[in-house]
Amino acid sequence: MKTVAMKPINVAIFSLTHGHTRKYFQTLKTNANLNWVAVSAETPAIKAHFESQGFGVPCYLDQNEMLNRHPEIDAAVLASSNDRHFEQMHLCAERKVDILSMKIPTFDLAEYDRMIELVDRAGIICQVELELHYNPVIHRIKQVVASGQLGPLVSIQGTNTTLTPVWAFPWQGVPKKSYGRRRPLRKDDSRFCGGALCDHPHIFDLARWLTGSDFDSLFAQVGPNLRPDLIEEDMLVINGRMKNGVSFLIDPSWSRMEERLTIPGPGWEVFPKRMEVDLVVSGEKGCLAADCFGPNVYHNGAPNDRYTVQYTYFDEWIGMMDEFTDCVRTRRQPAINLRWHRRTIEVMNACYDSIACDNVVSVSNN
Amino acid sequence: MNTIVNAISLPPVPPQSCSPHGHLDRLAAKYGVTLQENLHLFERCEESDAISGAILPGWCLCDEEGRDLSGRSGIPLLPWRSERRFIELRNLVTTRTVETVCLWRSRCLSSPERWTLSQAIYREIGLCQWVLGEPFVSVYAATHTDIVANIIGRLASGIACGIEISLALPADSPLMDRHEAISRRGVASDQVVDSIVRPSSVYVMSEQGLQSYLDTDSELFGLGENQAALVREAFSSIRQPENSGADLATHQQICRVVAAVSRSVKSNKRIDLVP
Repeated sequence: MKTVAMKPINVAIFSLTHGHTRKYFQTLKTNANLNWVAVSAETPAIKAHFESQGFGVPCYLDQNEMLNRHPEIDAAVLASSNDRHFEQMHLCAERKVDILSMKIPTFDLAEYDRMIELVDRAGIICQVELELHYNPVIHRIKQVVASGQLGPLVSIQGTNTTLTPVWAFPWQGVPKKSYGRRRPLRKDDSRFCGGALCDHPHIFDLARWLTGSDFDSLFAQVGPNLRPDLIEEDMLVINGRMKNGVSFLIDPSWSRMEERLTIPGPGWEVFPKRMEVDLVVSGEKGCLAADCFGPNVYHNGAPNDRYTVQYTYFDEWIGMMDEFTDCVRTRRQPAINLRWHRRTIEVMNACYDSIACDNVVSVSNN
Repeated sequence: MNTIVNAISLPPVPPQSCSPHGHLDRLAAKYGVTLQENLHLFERCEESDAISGAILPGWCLCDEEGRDLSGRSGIPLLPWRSERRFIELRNLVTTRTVETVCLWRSRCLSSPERWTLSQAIYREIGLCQWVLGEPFVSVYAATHTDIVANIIGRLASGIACGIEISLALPADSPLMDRHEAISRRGVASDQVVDSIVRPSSVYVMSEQGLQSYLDTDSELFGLGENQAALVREAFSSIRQPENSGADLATHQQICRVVAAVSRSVKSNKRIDLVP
């Protein structure tokens, strides 16, 4: 096995339009294994905002110019809207740049397969950003389930609920940019695919990971939008069965109301907690209940004098970047790679199929 | 051309739990920090009595009268400064999210197997001063045996403080505590509204009964919240040795407040302190 020398990995970030972009800033500054060399911004306003933060990292409005001026780039974070991932993966593959993709590489499975082909042919690493795997509570859940203490699993119930990020990251409210095309939710509905479901693959991934099984059939139900002016779904629930018989119920809604801030910051929340991942895992011998982002500290001070959860830990990106670094250096594919994640994307598409036909769909042979 | 290894990696679960010192070693190795061989991190004082290179919570270096023992026993750490809930509480104060604090209330329920009364007082005094950014200028305390202390104090700006400490819990009980800064613009607390205890993050109900876990730090997975803070503080202390003089001065100041609490109990009088 060939290994890369233990020098810092030169990392670039594309686009700066994804909601998770700012999560990387601290890690890229503090992790001695990483050397943050450049970013590209999609608009002058995004560039100006980035530069105002004083990171001292060169910022380009043209991603090709960034790549051309920095041939030393080893790896890139594709912090862009979902509809730009293929094009950016292509640029990376051409230059043998390893990739950390946002959580939805694409919903178009033909395009997804071309991404796999690109990555395979170029011999590059491609990790998909499902940061929840590096959450300490998830570590504990994995440990308890693996111990057999709960016995054979019979059910997973999970929430992955948040406020909607569309006011700060507008592409998430544009079906073409979020889902990849304007696909109507169903015949009698004016809304399109691309909303809350597209924002929350984690809980589907965890169901696969924890049960060691695969989705068999599901039924997805959308509610009326909490935000009637959104043209994508924001409230939905999904239930069904895994191939091994485990029953599941998943809530990936944007059910936590927000202030419509254009830059996330204090006062974003209307509902006190902006993001929750709660899991109940039942087995024949016991049950586990977990809050993956709690407990925290709480206040009702500035700016809106509302009761608010102030998160006390958000270090998923440290572990995730540790794994990415190790993968780049040892040339192993990460646990959450394109091939593993494809099935999760299939299942999310099946949820939209179920909404469209208002019926149970099989996902066994998709 | 690099070669991709075909095998997919194992699930990204961190190594199983080990001692706080083991975790400190791992952090040091990860971040390229050299640990001096003669330094060893301890959680409690009895383990460290005979070791000159001990680094340990400052409260372990405070005797029954609140006197400072650091000169002969080890390097005192102030671990609340690395405990995430206290960092965020402090942020809420320093960013003026809660503005003009008028009252600090804390409660600490523990067991005598964990620490002595003066050690628990040390911790509550130290973290109160750190979160609010002010020293105590007076204290009055009522205690009962070595189990309970009810303390009222005043900080330099006039903030009133009520600190309740009880060591009446059975051995091996988890630390139960609550901290609250009440201001003219809101309340900041590490306890959620409408509850009298802090929740855990994971509950397991099985044939082995009810088990709960509070996991807050991925890099230090396996350590409890207080242990993780101790390791983080030790790591910070080792990385920034230039702060050791200021840290020792802070430790000695806290000891003076704890000693004043002891004098107040004996005299049944309010004791004034010079900041």
